[in-house]
Amino acid sequence: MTKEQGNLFARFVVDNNKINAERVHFTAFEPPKNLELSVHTIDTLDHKVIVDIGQSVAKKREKNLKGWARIERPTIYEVELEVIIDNKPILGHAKIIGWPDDVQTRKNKMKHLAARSQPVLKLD
Amino acid sequence: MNLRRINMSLDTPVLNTPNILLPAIYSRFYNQEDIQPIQIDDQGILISPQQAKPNLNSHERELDYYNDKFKELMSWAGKPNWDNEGADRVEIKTYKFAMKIVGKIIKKVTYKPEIAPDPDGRIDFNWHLDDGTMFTISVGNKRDLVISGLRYGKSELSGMQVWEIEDKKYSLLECGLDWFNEVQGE
Repeated sequence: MTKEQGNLFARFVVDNNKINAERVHFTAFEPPKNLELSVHTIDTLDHKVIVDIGQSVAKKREKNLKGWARIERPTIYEVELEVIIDNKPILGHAKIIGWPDDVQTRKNKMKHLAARSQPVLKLD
Repeated sequence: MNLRRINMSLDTPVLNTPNILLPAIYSRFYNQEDIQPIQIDDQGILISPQQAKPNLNSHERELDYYNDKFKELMSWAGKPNWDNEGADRVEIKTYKFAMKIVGKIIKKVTYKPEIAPDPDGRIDFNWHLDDGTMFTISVGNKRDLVISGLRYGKSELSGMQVWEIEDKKYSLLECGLDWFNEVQGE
């Protein structure tokens, strides 16, 4: 995967109350216990393909895809986090890492990511 | 409205209720810690616990609302790995401490937060307003509070405090709630 294919990422959202046309709720950026937040590269993908990937992610969690937060790589760096494309478990998978252990800084970074991301609703 | 009060066991049929709805009804009105009687009105329609407590004043009704929320949350987040990604369970002491915080929140803020566990086993009160204001009060199992507020894309508020002596050290919480109240009014 070239660098150009890893500049734009989607954080999939499966809960209705975490996304609307104006914003993505910051809790959609809550990293799990291992502090590796799953995202997916979407640079060259069209809406339908992103939906298909998101649906498969949602299905594993026994939920339905509602949309995604669109985040650019510089945004991730701006909040002093990193992103690594690992292509696991699927091609294009990436993880946002570098989350601090202390809760207050982590909660702030979640909010900054939310403020700098754009919501995309799944088209039915 | 005339209310009838009935004590139900798990094998008591609900009047005029399709069997397919029963699991949802039981999970809504019953939990492992507090089995309470269900009330139905004279039309045979189930009414919620809040509606069934007409003698509660507004403060008690608010507490009741949060208590219901917490009980629902504890029913799944009280177990380890509730997110299937290794999350810590929310402990009972965290829930009890969160209820103490609720008392403070009710007095200051009318806008109801989203209440959610976090993967560290904390309970978060989250507000995300349409103008972009975001505010979190996060409660841990060591009587610790974390406050985080962001507005116009900039952090305006951040802090951590251990509630060592009850009601003696809540300045951070008060400060956070005052900040949130102010920005709502602008």
